[in-house]
Amino acid sequence: MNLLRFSYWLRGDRPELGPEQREKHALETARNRIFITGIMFGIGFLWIAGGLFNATVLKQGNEPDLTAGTDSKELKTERADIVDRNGILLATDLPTSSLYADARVIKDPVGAADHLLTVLPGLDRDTLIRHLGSQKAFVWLRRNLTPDQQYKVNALGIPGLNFQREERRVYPQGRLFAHVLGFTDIDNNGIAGAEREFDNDLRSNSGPLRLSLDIRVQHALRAEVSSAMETYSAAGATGLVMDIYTGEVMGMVSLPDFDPHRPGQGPADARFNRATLGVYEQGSVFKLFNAAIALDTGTSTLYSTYDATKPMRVARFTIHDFHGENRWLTVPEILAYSSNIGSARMAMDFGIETQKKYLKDFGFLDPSDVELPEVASPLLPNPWREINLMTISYGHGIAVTPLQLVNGISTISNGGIRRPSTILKQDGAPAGVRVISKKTSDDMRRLMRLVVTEGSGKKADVPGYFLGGKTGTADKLVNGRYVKNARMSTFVAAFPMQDPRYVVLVTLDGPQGTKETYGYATAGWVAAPAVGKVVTRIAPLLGIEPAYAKAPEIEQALRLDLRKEERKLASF
Amino acid sequence: MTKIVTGFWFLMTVLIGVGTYWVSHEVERLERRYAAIQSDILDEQESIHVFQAEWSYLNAPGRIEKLAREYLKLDQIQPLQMASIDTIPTDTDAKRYRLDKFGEAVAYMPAPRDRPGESAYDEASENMIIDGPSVGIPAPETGGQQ
Repeated sequence: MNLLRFSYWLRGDRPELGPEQREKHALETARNRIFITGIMFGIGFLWIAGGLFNATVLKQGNEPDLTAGTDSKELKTERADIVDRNGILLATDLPTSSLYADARVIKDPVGAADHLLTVLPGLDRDTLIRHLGSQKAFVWLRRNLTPDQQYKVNALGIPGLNFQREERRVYPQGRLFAHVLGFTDIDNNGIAGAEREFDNDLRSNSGPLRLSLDIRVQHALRAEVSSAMETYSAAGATGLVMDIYTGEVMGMVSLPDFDPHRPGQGPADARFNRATLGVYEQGSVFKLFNAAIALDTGTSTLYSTYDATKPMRVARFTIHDFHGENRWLTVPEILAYSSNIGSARMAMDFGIETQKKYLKDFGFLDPSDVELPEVASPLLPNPWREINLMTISYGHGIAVTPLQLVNGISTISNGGIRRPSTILKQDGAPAGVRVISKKTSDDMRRLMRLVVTEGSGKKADVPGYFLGGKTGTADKLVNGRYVKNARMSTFVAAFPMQDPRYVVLVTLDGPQGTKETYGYATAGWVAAPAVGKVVTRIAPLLGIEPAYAKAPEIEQALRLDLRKEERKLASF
Repeated sequence: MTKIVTGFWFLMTVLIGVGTYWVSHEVERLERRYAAIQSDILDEQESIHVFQAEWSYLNAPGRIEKLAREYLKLDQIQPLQMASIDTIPTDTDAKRYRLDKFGEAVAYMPAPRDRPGESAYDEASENMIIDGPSVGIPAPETGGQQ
């Protein structure tokens, strides 16, 4: 009974009432229910309407000015581009097609191979037949086809030959940056140069990699260095240009070089980066460092005199002068006439420990910090005896890379602060370490200028640009023995000397004298003119104004007498 | 009354239904178009990328140098040929014009520039002057005049 009552209640029926009242009551209940349901729906719709109003009018009244695209695509290459300091493209990825075969589909391997050979004659027939008959699902046949080759292969219509889209590293400047950029293997992995050093950064591809090198400087440098190398039939050559205030390498050339698209085809010697991987005895160029140490420690002043009357005997060695003056020399004379004896005597005044400390500060005792995988450690004497102290003073018995040398000359001429060499573009000058005082640097600038005006570097002078530098000619070491008539001739110079900005180095490996040089192949004859030519070409590009109007004043300011007048009177 | 209201709501239902359907279709169409444009942009970017490589290749300094040597009669610029703006005399106008008695600028006869060490003034240019030098602008300092 109770269940029946419940079912009546559920329907809103009341059996205890009379039939008329029951009907009336039922109608009322139904109406109420419809009303309540309507209100419920009304509230629901109002809720939605309110939400819509809030979302469209209150929260964001108008359409956003810029749609935030979530699925917009940017072209992403496998490896990032490499650009020069002005944004000129040096290395990039270009799409190519590579041919592969699904050997399971190929019915007639021999016929297919013969057809394919008409289009791609470079393939080996036997290998091709073996690959096509291998029943493998994927066999590479040829990577990186040209569009023309791809079209021809397609036109053959052989089923089972397919193309895979790939990217290939392309160097639009060809050989120009071969050693700096390095190269990649067929799977686009960097295996030399900057490509290897920055492999991870290039792969993650967050914008192009900007080098500090300048394509115009690099071209001028390579053109002049290779012309000098050709003129003097040298076996190899190196050229470097560095910004002395930032340590940025503006140009780096090592000859012979190679085509980065086919690195394997040249001789192994061509892939050797002489600027960073070659360690050489730099010869007389080191006299600059020797003089800087002596002046900075105060063991010499500009007009200290040293006995260079006769060759110096130390143990079983004899130190000669190449251009013997055979008299007492002042510091400017020692540099101008490139006296080994004088330099050795200067070094004896400050001693082994001081020499070591300064050479370490100049960065000659450790490998260069440049961001390249091909960096060699210097060759140092061990133990460091007195004879080493003397030979190092004129650049023998220690072998460093040309890049380290350029960095050292930058330190000497920029006011005495060493900054690490870099091939990446810098914003402003990075933090550096003071090595020699400003005063010493000023004196060194004048001494370097003196070498060009009075000494062995005369052939490098470019009117208006006030070069200052030092020549260095070292006999080449082959298997630990000096070889006569196989020299490294180096000239390194900073310019303009009244306010130095750049250092230029040219080294020729094994130059031969010509008729024009009267058979001489020393640095002053073969490397100095090349540096002069490089400066003539790059100085206007780098925005350095030739100083004519002010020339006499500048010459006066840079002037340095070989001897002090009174001393001259006293000594004669 | 009820009929009108019912008719109104029926019409609204149909309109909203059609409207929703239309919007949905339109969105799909635009999305397809968007995808097509995206892929066009990618194609264009790829072409630009290839052109950039080609541009860099064609602008290789070695090639430009070779072309310049072949087609231009220009030589390597020498430091002697460069001068700064400061070295250009600024009073050229004063040397070229003077004011006549009516206050108008009169040109001196264009005279060849003095050679170094040759300070005699040009008589011909002197003859062209109608009146004596006026006071407005200093007279030309060609030397030897006063």
